[in-house]
Amino acid sequence: MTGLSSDSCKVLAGTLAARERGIFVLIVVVSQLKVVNPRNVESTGVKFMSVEVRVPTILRPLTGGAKVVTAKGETLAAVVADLEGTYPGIGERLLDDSGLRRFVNVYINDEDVRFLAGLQTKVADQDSITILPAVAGG
Amino acid sequence: MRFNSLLDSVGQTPLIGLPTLSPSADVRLWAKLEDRNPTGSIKDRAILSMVNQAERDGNLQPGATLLEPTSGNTGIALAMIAKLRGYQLVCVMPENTSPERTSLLTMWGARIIYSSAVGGSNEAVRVAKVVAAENPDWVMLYQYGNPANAQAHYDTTGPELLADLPTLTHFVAGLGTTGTLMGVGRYLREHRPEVKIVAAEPRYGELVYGLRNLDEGFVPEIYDESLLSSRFSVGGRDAIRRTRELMDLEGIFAGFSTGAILHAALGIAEKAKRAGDRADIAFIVCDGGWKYLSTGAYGGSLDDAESALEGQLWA
Repeated sequence: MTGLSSDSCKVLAGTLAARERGIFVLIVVVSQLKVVNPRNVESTGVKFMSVEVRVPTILRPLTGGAKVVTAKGETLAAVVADLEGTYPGIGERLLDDSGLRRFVNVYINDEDVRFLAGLQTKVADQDSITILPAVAGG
Repeated sequence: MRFNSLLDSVGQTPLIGLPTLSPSADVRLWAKLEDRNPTGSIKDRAILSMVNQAERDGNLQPGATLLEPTSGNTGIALAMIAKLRGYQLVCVMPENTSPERTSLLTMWGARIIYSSAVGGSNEAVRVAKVVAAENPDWVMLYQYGNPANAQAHYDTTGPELLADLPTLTHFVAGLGTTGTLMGVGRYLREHRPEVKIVAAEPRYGELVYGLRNLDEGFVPEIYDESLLSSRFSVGGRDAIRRTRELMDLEGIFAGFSTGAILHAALGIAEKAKRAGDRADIAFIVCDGGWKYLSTGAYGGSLDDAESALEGQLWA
């Protein structure tokens, strides 16, 4: 996914949680025979899938006030499910029966997912996801 | 070029090649200079169309009072036309807009009701609807839901683009009311269905997204997602950077919304170049930079400029 973000080179904190998931993630890497980007390698040599999600003010009561959170998942739907696991209630604010709620916009690397594959859009390691309420211009 | 009146001169704007910013001879960028309209923005087209339609429909009597939510350009265009046609104008404008916009509106005789910065244009729309309900004899043309807004671009902007650039492959414009993209998009879908219609949406500071709940979100009634090929969100920093590049490399002095549009256009150009595709990418220069000089964002460091626009409705 090629985005337009000028500051796409985000530095991810190597977290303890990521190390704990290391073995599982290692299997994924080997099975997909992916070229490992050095930026994604922990000191143990283990790759982990992680994306940065920017949360709008209105949803921050659900993230303990956090503006940027990390989540994992290979599609946007999986990322939302992962967020729901960590921050119960957020899924329902983003989705309804038909998919993304009408007044919720989600961008992966600055591109609106409604013009990609919606909730099935693939998410790559270190992608940046932004959630925003729909607003007027003009 | 001779016209019988100022309003007859709306539209027919130049399409300018950008030899320095275009990545190659096969991938070319073209700027449509909408700042050449009478009040200096693309909004003259939409507003003239909306006023003419309301007059044809018998919804505007001499001396009528118009009411409109606007972040600036729509109000300025409407103020000028209202003055020439003998109407009063009340604008509802967010308080976090540059002072030049207030000066221009006042100069053309509009009255301004300021809406809170929190919530941006959503709040202006909400307040305008309350004021409209309290003043049932006022006429709200309502740019977000008025088909004559998009129709202006179907009738004029779209045909002008295709006449000047028959090899057009991409059209890029800003997404506010969505009028430009809907009108040009529909015209191009009918005449050149292979042309990509790309939206660049300004991403403002947090203040503007400070809604009380998600149900207060807003999608303009005239918006039809199926007319777009893709939609990009562009932050203030990239918009400022590109606005400055447009001036430094091509000599065009534009407002920041144009920088956001150029950012998306350049992204498409790079992609086409990498893929080895031919591309003629036309984008909209919405207005000149004059109304935004007081923000201070044209000079100094990018960091300072970005902070200057934080919390402002810069597009």
